[in-house]
Amino acid sequence: MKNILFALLFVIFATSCGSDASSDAASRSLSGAADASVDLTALPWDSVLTRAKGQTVQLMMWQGDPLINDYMSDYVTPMVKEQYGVNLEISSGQGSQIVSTLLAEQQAQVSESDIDLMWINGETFFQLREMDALYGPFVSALPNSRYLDLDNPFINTDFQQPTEGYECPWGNVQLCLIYNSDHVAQPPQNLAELQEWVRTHPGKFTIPTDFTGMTLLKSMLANLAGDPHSLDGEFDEARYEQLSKELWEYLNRNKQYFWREGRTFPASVAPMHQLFSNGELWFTMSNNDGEVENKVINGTLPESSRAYTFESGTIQNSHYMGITEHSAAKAGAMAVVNFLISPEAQLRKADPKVWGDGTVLDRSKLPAEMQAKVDSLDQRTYAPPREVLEQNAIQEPAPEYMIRLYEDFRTYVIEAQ
Amino acid sequence: MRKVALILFILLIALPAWLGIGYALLNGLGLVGFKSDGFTTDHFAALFSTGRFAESFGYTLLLASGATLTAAALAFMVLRVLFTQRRSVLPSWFFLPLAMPPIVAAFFGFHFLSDTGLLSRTLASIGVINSASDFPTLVSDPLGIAVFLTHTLLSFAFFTVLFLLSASRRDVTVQLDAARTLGASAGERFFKLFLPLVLRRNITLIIVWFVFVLGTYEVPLLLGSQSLRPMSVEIIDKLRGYSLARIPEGYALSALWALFIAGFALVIVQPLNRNYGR
Repeated sequence: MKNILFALLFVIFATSCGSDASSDAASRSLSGAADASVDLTALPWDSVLTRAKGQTVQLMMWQGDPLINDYMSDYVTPMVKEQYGVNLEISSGQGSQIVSTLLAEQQAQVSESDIDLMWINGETFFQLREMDALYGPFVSALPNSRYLDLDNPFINTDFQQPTEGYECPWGNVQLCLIYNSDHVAQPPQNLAELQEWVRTHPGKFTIPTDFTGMTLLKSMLANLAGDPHSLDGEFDEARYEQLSKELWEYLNRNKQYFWREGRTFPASVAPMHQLFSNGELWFTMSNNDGEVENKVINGTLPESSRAYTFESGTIQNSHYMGITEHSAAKAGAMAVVNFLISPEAQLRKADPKVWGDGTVLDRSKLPAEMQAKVDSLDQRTYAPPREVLEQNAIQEPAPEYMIRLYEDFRTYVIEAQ
Repeated sequence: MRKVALILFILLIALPAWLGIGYALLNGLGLVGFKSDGFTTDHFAALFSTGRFAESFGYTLLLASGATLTAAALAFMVLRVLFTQRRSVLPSWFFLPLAMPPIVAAFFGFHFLSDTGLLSRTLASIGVINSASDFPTLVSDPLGIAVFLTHTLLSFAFFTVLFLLSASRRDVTVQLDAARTLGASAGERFFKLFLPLVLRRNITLIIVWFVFVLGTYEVPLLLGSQSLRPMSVEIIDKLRGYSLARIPEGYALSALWALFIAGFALVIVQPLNRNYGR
């Protein structure tokens, strides 16, 4: 009996150590095995497309917005099938999920990843570069990259890290505060005015504990430093300690005037939008300066909603598409990214009724007819034009600021009751 | 046949679980994993460097024991009513929560108990409170009231079914009939005979359910506080956080927690099972 048990255990260990690729990965490799051994960026684009045809590309992305989901499933998926013969399959996941999936694959020495393409930015890019999990540089090999605004530091640099072709810009947004103009005549323009405002309107303002909330905290750090460029460059521990101490003092001094007297904070902007819509909050916020338009159009936010940025500035950043180093469908993934940065796809995405995501293309590089189409896009009703907001744009600081703020906001503000 | 079942149990259940715990331990000790630098106890030490581990540990135990005991008490109250009315059947809607996965119950809890939820708006519309904003914070509140209520609801349905099944067993009904014949009152029959019998018969399952609630994830994730969080949420937070350097801490915490649960099962559940078998 013991012998049988040991024999079975041995078989399990032997098979688990010996086979580092799952049967699923094996079947996926049929179409794309050659991608791993060929430098696709050195091939003519036609050859890349020949390889891409018939490949299935697994895209992992945040799927928390129905408009974004519709854009991807109703427009991008059929278009890449039609133009390149690529089957695009989209699954839900972001940031930490992507990192943990790829980390597990790396540790299991999986040769072909379950993820080919992913929507990433900032801290995820930083982590994936640390892990050597990104394929590249590939961006310059995409024909449509000639339209990209790669001279723009808000696009060519991601959380102070040069992208160096390891991720392709996809959209550009700026953090905006959204206020209810029925109740707020003059929204606060800096931290001093915000303090004054929350004290005279207790319970109407709060900060979510998610990515958007942390982006506001980063903007506040820069505001406290008194210079939008104060956080530029590599992470500075001493500077962070000094500024974050001031920030926690500021928040703890004022949180009793926040929603629910600062005893609890919303976990994300979604419940904040809900609280804003029913009048419990007079402020909400969005990482996307164009979101207020589509949220009003679809009835999520009231028509009295208005977006703005502090005069002291808010963070502007870009989001990107990255290809996994161990993708079995790199050619297909490159074809999809090329489509995503095409003028047609970017223009459609910029339409507030579709998504309202800022473009990463340089208008001056576009063909004349596309320039005309860009100019004819609906003007914003509920948010100032991008050019106005950009005057108050602050570049994303190094990813360590985000990592530290997440932890310290919990320790020094939420738990400091 | 018994040996085959044992082998299958070991291969399919025990072995993967222990391999997982072993991997978590090794990762927590810096022996495997991304950028592991060799043996270190730093990741375990980091867990105890703040009071968060103790708080989370205590909160998890309190939440699970509170929800389990409250639900068991409520189930006995229902049975007491049935006992008095000499009924043994409940309407089927009563067991609806049994069909709810925890994540569905959490969403239900959110839409029912949140500040802008159904309950607050209903109370505001009938004038019990002035406006929805006067409704007390139950979701994401520091004490995790919505988490407690949701788990109590889920556990209550389970315990009611469990106790009803026990109540209908022949040995229980025979003893109850005998007690009635000997002149015991309804209260005496319930508290001195029925309650101890059912409790004794189900104590192992009650404890196993308690262990299940200890591992709760979705409900506190959606309804819980931002500060005081149960162990499962703490673990996932560390494993999926933005800092790769903190992942070994997550593994260390998960290993400690898994060993605690395993130890608990060994010390409490196994002797009970042995006694039950006699």
